[in-house]
Order: sequence, then C-alpha cells, then structure tokens
Amino acid sequence: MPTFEELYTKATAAEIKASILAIADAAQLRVTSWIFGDPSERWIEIVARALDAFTSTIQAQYVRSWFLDLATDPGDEGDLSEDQTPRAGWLSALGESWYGTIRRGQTLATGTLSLTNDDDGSATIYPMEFTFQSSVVQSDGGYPTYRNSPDPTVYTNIDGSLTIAPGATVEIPIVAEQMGSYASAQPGQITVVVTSGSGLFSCTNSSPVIGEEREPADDYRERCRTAADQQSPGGPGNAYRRAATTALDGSPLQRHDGSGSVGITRTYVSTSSSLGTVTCYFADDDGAADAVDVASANANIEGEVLGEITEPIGVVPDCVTYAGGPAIETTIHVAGTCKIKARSGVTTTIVKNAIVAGLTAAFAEFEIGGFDQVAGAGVVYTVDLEGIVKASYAGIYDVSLSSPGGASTAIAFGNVAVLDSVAGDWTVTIT
Amino acid sequence: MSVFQQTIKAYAPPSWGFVRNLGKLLESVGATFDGAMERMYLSRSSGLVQTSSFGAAEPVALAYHARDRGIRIYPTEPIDSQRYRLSRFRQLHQRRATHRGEMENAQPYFLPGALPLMRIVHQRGNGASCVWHTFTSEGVYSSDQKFPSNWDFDGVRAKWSRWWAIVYVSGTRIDGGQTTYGDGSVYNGGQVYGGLSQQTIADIVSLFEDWKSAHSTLWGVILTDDNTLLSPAGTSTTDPDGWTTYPIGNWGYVIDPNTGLPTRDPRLTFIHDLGQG
Repeated sequence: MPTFEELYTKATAAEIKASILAIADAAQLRVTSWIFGDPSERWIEIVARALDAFTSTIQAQYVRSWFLDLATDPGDEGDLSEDQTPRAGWLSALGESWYGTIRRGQTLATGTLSLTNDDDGSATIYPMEFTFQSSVVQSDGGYPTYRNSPDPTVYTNIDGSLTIAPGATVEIPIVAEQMGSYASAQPGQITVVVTSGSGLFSCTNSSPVIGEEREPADDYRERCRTAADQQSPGGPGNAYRRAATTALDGSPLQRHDGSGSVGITRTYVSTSSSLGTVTCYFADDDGAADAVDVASANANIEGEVLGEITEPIGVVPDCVTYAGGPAIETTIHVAGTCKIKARSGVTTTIVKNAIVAGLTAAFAEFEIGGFDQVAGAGVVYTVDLEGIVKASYAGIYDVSLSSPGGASTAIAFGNVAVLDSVAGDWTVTIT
Repeated sequence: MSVFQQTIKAYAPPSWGFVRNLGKLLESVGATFDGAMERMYLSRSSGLVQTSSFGAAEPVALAYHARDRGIRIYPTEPIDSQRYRLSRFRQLHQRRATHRGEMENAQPYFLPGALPLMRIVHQRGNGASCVWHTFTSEGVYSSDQKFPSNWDFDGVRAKWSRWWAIVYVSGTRIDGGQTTYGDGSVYNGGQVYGGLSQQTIADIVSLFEDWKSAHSTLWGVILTDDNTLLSPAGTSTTDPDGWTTYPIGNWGYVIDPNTGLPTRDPRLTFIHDLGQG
C-alpha cells in the first residue's frame, strides 16, 4: 500500500513504467533485455504515459485537495498547474470554502495625486488621459507609472471631464500600471507628468500609494487555521491571533487609515493569567508592527469601530482586561565567515547576498519571544543561525559566526528578534 | 485489490492466452492499473477522519487534518479519540475556552470504553461563591453556583481566573492504573504514582490546558476513582489526620506549614498542581 507521502506526490511516467517493469520482472518476464522500440516495450511505454496523463495528476491533486499544507494556488511552490501565473487556485478555494478565509491577491497600487495646472489657461482633462511616473528608481532600473483613474465624483463635467482653472490644484485618483508593491510610493515620490492631453502640469502625491503582493501561502494557511476559534465566545488565544490579521468576513484586516492591509504576521498572546488579563504583542516581517497596524489590530480584537474597520470582530470576553502593543525589538547582529568551493557562477557577492537574504527570511519567521519560551521569554540559538547561513546557498561549509557571541541570545517577554546583518558583515572564502 | 490484473486478459484475443509472456505482460499492466485505482481510493478516503464504509484517513494523514483543524493530537491519545475529536472540531472550537468546552475536549481521550465524569470548579473573586461545571460520562452538562463557596483553594481570592479540573476515572480505561499515591517510598520506573505514564499524565493535563481561554490559568488537575468526592453540593469535613475533604483555604500547601499535617484528601491525586497562589 502506498504511503501518504506517495499519495500526494505525483508519480512520473518513468516511475509508472518502472512499476510495470518491476511487476513483470517479479513475474519472471525478461523485461530488461527488450529492444527499445519493440512492440511490447512500446506498449508499456504507452500505458505508462497514459496513466501519467490521465490519472497521476488527478490522483495527486485529489489527496492534496483535502489539506491546506498540500493545496496550492498557481504560482505557489509545488503547484502542478501548467500555467503558473499567480492567481486563485485550489488553495484559495479550499480556504474560502472550508475556513471562510480569503487570500489577499496582488493588487494595483491606488491613491490620490495632486495635479496642478501650471498653464495660463483652463485645462480640461479626461480619465486615463494622463500618465504619471515615480521619481524613485526600482531594483530593476525602471520607474513605476500611473494613470488617472475614472471617478464620476471627480470628473463631473457633462462629458465626463474635469476642468482645472489656471494655477489650481485638484486631487485626482490614480492607479498603477504595474502590479503589486512594485508601484507603491511614499508621499512626494510621484512627481513626473509623463504624458498629458494638453497644457502644462505638475504633480505630487501627499499620501502613500499602496500596491500589495499576493499573501504568502503559508501566512494564508495560518489565517485559515485560526478561523475555527473565531466561533468561540470564551477568548481562546487563537481568537486574538485571528482578529489581529483578519476581518470579520475572512478577508485580510485593513489598516484603519485606509493604507492597505495590516502587515502583522506574528502575534504573541499571553497564555495564562490568574487575574483575567490578556496581553498581545504584534510584529511584522521585519520587526515590531507599526502604530497603525497595532491600532487596527486592537480595534478588531476589542470590537471597536475605527476608521476603515467598520465591523470589528471583538474577541475579548467580558471581565477580561486586554492590552495589545507592538513587540519590542531585540536586534541581533549576525556576522561571520564561511567557505564555498569554486564553481561556475559563484562569487563572494552572490554568496554574501544569499546569506543576508536567508537570514532575513528566517528572522521573519521567528516567533515573538523566541524559541523554548518560558513565560513568554526564550532564546535564539547561535547554532541555528549557523544552520541558516549554511542553508542559504548550496555548497556553503565551515560557517563560523563572530557575532552573536555565546550559545544563544535571550529574547525577553514581548520582544522580537530583529536582524542586523549586511553583506559587508560576511567573509566568504572561495576555495 | 487485484481486479484488473485478473480481468484484463478477458479483453485480449483468446490466442494471446497461449502466449505465456504476453499474459504476464498483460497482468503487469493490469496490476499497475489496480495500483492506480488503489491510490485513487486511498486519496479519497484520506479526507475522512472517521472510519466508514468508504475507508478512513491513515493515522499519518490525521496529523494533517489535525493541523488544519486546530486539533492537537497527543502522543498517548488513542486513535478513536483522535478521530472523534477531529470529526467534531467545529463543535469543540465553538466551545473552546469555556469550561464546558475544556471538558468536551478532554473526555474523548478516554475512548474506547466508558467515559469519565468530569468537573471544573473556580471561585469567584469576592470569595462568596464558587461555580461547579459538571460533564457526565453520558455527555450531560450542568453548572452549579454554590453559596457560600465550598471551594477556597488557598485563600487567595483575588486570583479569580484560576480553575481546577477533576477527572473521575472509575471505570475508564486508565482505571487499572494506580491513580492514588502509594506509600510514598518509591516512584516506579518511568511511571508516576505507580500507575500512569508521565506522558499520559502530561497529555491529560494538556487536553485541558490547550483548550482554555487566554485569560485564565489551569491551576490543578485532580484524578480520583471515587465519584462521590468533590460533589458540587458538598461541604468540607476535617479528618482526624488534619486533611479536609474540600479546600478551605488550606490546599495551597500539601503539608500545612503551621501544623505539619496533610491538607488534602488522600483519595485525590493531583497530576497538575501550581500550589499556593
């Protein structure tokens, strides 16, 4: 009987063919001496390919479809779809159907732009007529661009246009032309008018323009798993975790000021109290959650309407004293040396960057309070950091950390480990 | 499940049956098809946490279900209990962090066989009363508020969100183990109190602990094989040896620091005890 792992692992055509041959071999059929292309050999190849085409994927997907850890959306690691364009797939369907939880998709950045008519005469503009550009170069060398999006409350002329008097400034909605966080812009960054219908214009954005990446699959799975505890009126720890990240309708909790989704990825909930108190600490990927995130989470937890949060969940039972705040950052400087054997494409810069990227990803997963917690306080083990460095790039060996010193770094109650490490902190020897 | 392996030859021309190797080849292909069908069948049944005529998820798959359903599986938890709790995960979560829910989560652990009577008790902050929550072996829940209080564990009334669980193990599958203290001379190898393994005790405590609210503290878990002890309506009496049948502010210490006498009913075994508040 196949193991569970074999059930959710898609069998390849070669494996199916090997299985047929193994059975035949066990039946003392001399299958290994067949000539390639011989009818019998070909029939086995055909059967293997037919099974691969018609049942393997279906069967593997079948078992995967039951479980959050095995279900994926296109674009997620391990997804079997031919088209890997990130989009909602079975994981999103499973999460929404069974757990009432909606995965945040990649969004186009939207916001408001201040457009000034610098010409001597009035200007009449139409939706989607303008292209604006950020003044900040992105990692790929490009600049995000935006269009003035339609809004009947702004473009109020009878023909759907907007008239701007000479020297006047209007606030117009804009939408990015590139997906995701690539086009996110901080105030004052969108200052270039690339194209316009006519006239002379200048622009700036006084508020952030936010686009978001698709919610990481594991973050989404964790939100799904807290869904059941939202039902309990008694205040289990997971109810607080759920409310810190998820709105009543199962969608990602929005920041109360309208600047996108709450970025909280880690929530510590105190486990016990003799006096009826609950204390929460919040962190995002790179450290303590910001003030807007914390206020948004607290509002949803305590059931208080705040800005965009119009239907808060409210999970704190009567008679319970609740307090929630940002985690306190404990910075850990990580530096050291390692070696790697010379091979094509390996440079010290690549390895150093991979180490920093690996550490950054790992720190984003460290729980508030660290590992092996006692009463909410724990540690980060130095040997674990060495392991992370070793795993950050294939072939790294002889990792030695000059920092942090000692076997572990203490993480106090309510604290979250924050990485301090740049490529310059590493000495990589190519041997 | 060897169906197609046998029937595949019926679809071949009769003359093929006389070709020995061809028959083996057909059987090999048929067996592979059978294997594919078995995988499909097992894939389908892996979604079923309860045993049924359509099969059931293998124990290893139950761990995946447990993770998704927020139900922790314990090392000594019988498979019957795992399947039951996983199948009732919505109901369990619905009452999680309530005292009824804590008992509902723990009781299936004693499957198969008779389920234990359970109680949870806590004292109100003003000390005037206490509340007893009872969950019978038949699954009937009731609560009793006792005026005046018959549960003052250690005299620390201000710590109002503490609670204690009592499991009456008489007739359950763990009843064969000694659940009261022996003569105190030895701890038996790898066992606690001569009966239950340390892991069993840890699991019973965790079943309550994991299902409690964030704002409360499980202060003690008590096992007894005498269903008449610690009933909600009772009042404390003092034994000539000094111990009392209910706590009257004296159970924070096992030995009374003033008199040197035992404080607790020896028919009760504390498998989890945070002591004086």
